[in-house]
Amino acid sequence: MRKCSKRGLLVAALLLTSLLTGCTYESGEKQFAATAPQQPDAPQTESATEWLKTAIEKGNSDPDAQKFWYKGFVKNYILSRTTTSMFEGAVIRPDGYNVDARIARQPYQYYRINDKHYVKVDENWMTAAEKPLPFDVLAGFDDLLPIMQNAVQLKDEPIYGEPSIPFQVKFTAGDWLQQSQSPLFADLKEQLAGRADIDEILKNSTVKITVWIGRNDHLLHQYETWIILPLPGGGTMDQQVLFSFYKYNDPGLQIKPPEEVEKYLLY
Amino acid sequence: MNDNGLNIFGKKKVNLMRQIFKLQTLYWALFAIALFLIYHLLVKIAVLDASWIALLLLIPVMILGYFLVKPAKRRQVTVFALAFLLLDRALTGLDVKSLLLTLLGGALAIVVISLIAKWYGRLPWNAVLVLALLPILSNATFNRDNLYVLNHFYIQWESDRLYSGEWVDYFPITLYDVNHDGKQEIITYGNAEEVPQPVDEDKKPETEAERKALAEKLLPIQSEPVSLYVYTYQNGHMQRMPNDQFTADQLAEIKAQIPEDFPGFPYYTQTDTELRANVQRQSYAEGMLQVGTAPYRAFLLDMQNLQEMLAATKGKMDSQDTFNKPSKYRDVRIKNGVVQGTYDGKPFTATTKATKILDTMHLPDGQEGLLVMGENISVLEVEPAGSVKEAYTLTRQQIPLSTANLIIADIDHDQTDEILVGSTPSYILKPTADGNWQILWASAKGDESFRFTNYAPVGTDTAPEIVAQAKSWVSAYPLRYVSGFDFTPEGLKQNWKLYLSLINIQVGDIDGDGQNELVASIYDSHKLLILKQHDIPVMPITIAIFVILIGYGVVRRFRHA
Repeated sequence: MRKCSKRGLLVAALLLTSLLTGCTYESGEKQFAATAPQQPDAPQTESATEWLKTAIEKGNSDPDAQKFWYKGFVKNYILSRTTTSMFEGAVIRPDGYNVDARIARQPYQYYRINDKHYVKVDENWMTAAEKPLPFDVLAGFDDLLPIMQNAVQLKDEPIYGEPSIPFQVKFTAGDWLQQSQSPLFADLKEQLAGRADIDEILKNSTVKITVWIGRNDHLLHQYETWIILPLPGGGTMDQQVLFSFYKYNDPGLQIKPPEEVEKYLLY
Repeated sequence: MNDNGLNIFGKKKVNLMRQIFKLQTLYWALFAIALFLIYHLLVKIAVLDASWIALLLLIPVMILGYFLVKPAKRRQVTVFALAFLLLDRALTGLDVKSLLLTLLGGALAIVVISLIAKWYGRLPWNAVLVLALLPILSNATFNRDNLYVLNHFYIQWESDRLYSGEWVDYFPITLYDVNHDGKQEIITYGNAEEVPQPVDEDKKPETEAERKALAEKLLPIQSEPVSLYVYTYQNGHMQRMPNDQFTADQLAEIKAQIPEDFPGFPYYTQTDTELRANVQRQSYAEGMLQVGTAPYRAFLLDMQNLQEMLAATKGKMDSQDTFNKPSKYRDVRIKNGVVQGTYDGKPFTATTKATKILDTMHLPDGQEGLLVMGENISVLEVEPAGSVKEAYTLTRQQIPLSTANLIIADIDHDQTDEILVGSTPSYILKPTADGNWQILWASAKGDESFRFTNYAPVGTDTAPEIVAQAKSWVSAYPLRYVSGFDFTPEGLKQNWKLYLSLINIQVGDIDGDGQNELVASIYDSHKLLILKQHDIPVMPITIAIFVILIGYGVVRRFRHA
C-alpha cells in the first residue's frame, strides 16, 4: 500500500509540497499474479459434438433462431501493442445483416440486405464493389464437429443471461491444420508443405477453441478462439477471436430497409 | 459631432489613458501573473496528483482569499481572477486547425469575457486591459505543455506531427548515435512529409464524377506511405536528416536499432516504404460474419504476415550481432528452433522455442545469461563445457508476457542484474542462486498505469534512476505520468514527476551537453518531445509567490482596518 494514500496523505494535505516530492511507492503483494484462471472442473456429462451438431441444425432451421443480435471482435496482442477489429449488429435470415465495424481504429458500417450491399465511411454511404461472400452466419461451425470430439465440458455460465455449456478443445495450430477439412486452409496446407521454419512455429503454437451452447434453447451463444503464435522477433502473438449471439428472435430487432440507406447514397 | 461632443470624447480618452498608465495597471498585471503561476504550477498540479484531497484543501484557501480582500473590492478582485483564468483557458482550448477560426474564436472570447467582467465586476479599464492581454501572451509565447512539466523539466523541442494518417496510434521511437558524433539521434517513423496535403478536403462533391471520385477514394482501405524519420541536433536546433544521405549499410544499421513493432497487425504490413493494407471493408466484414470461419480467416491473415516476415529474414526468427553494452555474447541467432552464437569467443548451440533475443544479464554465479522470449522467457547460460542450460524461466502463467517490456539493470548494485518487468502488475525480479526469482518489488494490485520504461541517469544526475509511467497518487484514473524513482528497501522513492501522460519514453543525450534528456511522445499525437531537466526550484518559488500574495492581502486588510 502506498504511504501517500494513507496516513502520509493526511499529512500531505496540510503540507502541499510533501505531496509532490518524496513519496515512496511501497511494494504490492510480492507474488506472481496467476494470469490464466483455472476453470473449475465440471462433470463431463455431455458430448460437445452432439451439442454443436444440434446447435448448427437448430440455428439453420428453427424459425425462432433466424434473427438475433451479435457482437464480435478479433484482438491481437504483440509486444506492447493491441490491434482490434470489431463487429456488432443484427442478423435477420434470410434477408441479411448490418455491421457496425472497426478495423484498426477505422470505423465503418456495412449493410447487406438481399442483393443490396452498402458501405458507410466518414458519413458517406457507398455501393460496395467487391464480389460478396455467401450469406451464411453459421458457415464453418461444421468443421469443428470432428475437432470437438476431444473437447472438455467446462462449468456452465450465462452468456447475456442465457445459461450455456462451454465446450473447450486445446491443441497446436499444426494439429488444427491437420484436423480441419475447411477449404479455407487448403491453400495454406499446400504452401506450408516442407517448410521447416513454419513447422517449428506451428508446433510451438497453442490454439484453444471454446463454444458456448444454450442449455435450454440449444443454440450457439458464444464462440471463442485463442491463438498463441510464435512471431519472428516478436516473442509471441496472442489473438483472441470472440463472437457472441444474443436475444434470439427479439421482436424489437429490425434492420432498416435499403431505401433508407439509398436516400443518402453518395455513389 | 459638435465641439462639445469632441471635448467630452477627448476628456474620456485622456482619463482612460491615465487609468491605463497608472501604477495600478502593474499591480493588476502582477496579480494576474501570480494567479497564473499559482493556478498552473501549484493548484492544478496538486489536483492532478492529490485529486479530492487537494480540492478539500483548496476550498478553505479560496474562502480565506475571498475574505482577505476588502469588502468594497471583493467583487472586483473575484471577477478579475475568475475572468482571467477563464479567458486563459478559453484561448488554450481554441480550435487550432484553422487560423481563421482561432482568430475569430479568440477575439470573441476576449471581447465577451472582458466586457462581462468590466460590467459585472465594475473593473477599471487598466484591469480589463490586463485581463485581455495576458491570456494572449500566455497562450502565444510558449508551449503550454511546459506547465505540466515545469517543476523539474522544460520542453526543449517539440516536433510537428510526423504522421498524416488516422489509424496508427504511435510508432516506436529509439535513440542511436547515427553519425557517431557523440550525440544521440532520434529515430522513428512517419509520413507527414511524404503524404501530400489534402486540397479542399471539406468540399462537398456535386457532380456525378466528383461523387464517384470520392467514393473510389473512401471505399477501399488505403495503403499509406511510411518513412524513416531521423532527427539530429545541429546548430542549436533539431532537424531531420534526409534519408537519401544514408548509405544502404547505414540504413540497415539504423533500422536494426528500432524495436520490433507491428502497427496494424495483421490488417496492415509495414514494409520499408509503406503500411500495406491486407484487408478490405466489405470482404472482411462478410468473412467475419460467416462466424464459424472467423478464427480461420484471422489465422490465415496471421500466417500470410508471418510467411512474409520469414521470407524477409530468410527463415531467421531473430538475430543480434552485438548488444548495446559490454557482453560476452556475439552473433546470436535463432532459426528453426535453434539458438546459436558465441560466448566469450566460444560457439554454443541449443534448441529453443524462443523467437526473440531480448538482452543479457549478470547472474548470481558470476556468469552472463542470455534472455530469449517465446511463449515464456528463458535465461540461458553457457556452461564451461560449452553446453547450454536454461538457468531461469519466467512463464506467462507468472506474468502476462505477451505485452510486457523488460529492462535489465543492477538496481541494488550487487553485481547481479535484476529484471524490471513493465506489465500489469510490474515487478522487479532478482535471480536467486537456486534458480528461482525473488520479487524485490511489485506494483499495487489494480494499478494499471505503472510501467517501467527506462533505467538511466537523467539531467545532471550521474547515477542511473528508474524511469516509469505512474498514475497520480490518489486518483484511480489510469493516466501515465512519467516519474523518476530510486529503488530503496522501503520501495520506489520518487525523485521527480511530470504531469504529461507520455509514451515511448527514451533517455539519452540529444544535444551533446553531457546530460541526458527525456525523449517521448503523447499518445496519438505523433509529435516528438525533448524534455530537459533543470534545477530551478519551481515549486518552492511558486509557494513563495503564494505566501507573498496572501501576506500582501493580510497587510492591505489590516491597513484598511
